[in-house]
Amino acid sequence: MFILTRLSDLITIQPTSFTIPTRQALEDQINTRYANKVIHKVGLAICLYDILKSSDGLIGSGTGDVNINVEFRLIVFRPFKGEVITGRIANSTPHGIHVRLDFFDEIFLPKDYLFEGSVFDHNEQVWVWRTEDGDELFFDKNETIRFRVEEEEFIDNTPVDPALRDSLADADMKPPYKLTGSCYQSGLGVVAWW
Amino acid sequence: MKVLEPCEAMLSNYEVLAHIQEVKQRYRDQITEQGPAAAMKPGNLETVMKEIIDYLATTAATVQTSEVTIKLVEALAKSSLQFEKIEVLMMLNHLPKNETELDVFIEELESRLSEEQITEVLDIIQSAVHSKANHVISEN
Repeated sequence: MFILTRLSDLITIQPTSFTIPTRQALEDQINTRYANKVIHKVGLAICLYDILKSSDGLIGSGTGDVNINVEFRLIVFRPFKGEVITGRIANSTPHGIHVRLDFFDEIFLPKDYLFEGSVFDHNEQVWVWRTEDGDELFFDKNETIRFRVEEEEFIDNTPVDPALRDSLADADMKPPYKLTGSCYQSGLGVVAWW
Repeated sequence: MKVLEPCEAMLSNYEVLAHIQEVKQRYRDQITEQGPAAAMKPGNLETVMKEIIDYLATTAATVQTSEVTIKLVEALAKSSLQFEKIEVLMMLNHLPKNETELDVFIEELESRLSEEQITEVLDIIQSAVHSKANHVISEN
């Protein structure tokens, strides 16, 4: 579910941070830049793991900022295809089930990937799995659910003109990283069932 | 920014939790040493660390310790059953309790393992869970 990714980047430390130990200042800068952000084709960066190398600082003319080349490793959320993870059911629609983890919301289980015999109950707005034995099992909201990761998709959003940003609805903004999961094998589904 | 190695290693949930708790402890120590101003951390970092801890609190990672984890990984990886690395990782993250749960994490479970071997694997996993529980009791 989590991986380590090695990156290199040019980190700038402003004169206001010169009183802080350099190692700490670098850590703060790297975390400001990457924590809780999606890196295209890599995954959702969580936080700095360790710093491997750093160059001598070079002071840029005019600003007094110190520029340092740093090689470091980040903890990244990137489940592999076929991995089984648990999350909670955020909501259900006739198209499928939205699942969220506390730190990541863009997970969708399409209706074709649910157990055979699953139907959507429009009154209750939940998916119901009618088993071969005639039992009815409910995918209730907020239940802990176990699912398998089937597909992942990265979308590189181009920057939007700041003047147009307000008129753009949230729905037009595509999530930069999203997962598609499945739930059709014994042992998957709501954890309490098994 | 340059990505040098997209996936250098895989981390278990326990390792991520341990790392974040260690970082949080270090930041708390800074408050006592250098005053609250030094401990002002970026908001995005605070958010994601809190959310990760909240999430991992619902998983098996909270009942694991480094010794027990290492012992469990060695027992599973070195066994003659030839598990894949990712299978060991998933078993470690989820600590399956019965055969149905184990079947989710291991491909072709029934053709690869006999009934006795399945019971043996489940016993190894359960003993790891229990040794931690006993450890907590003896500490108290």
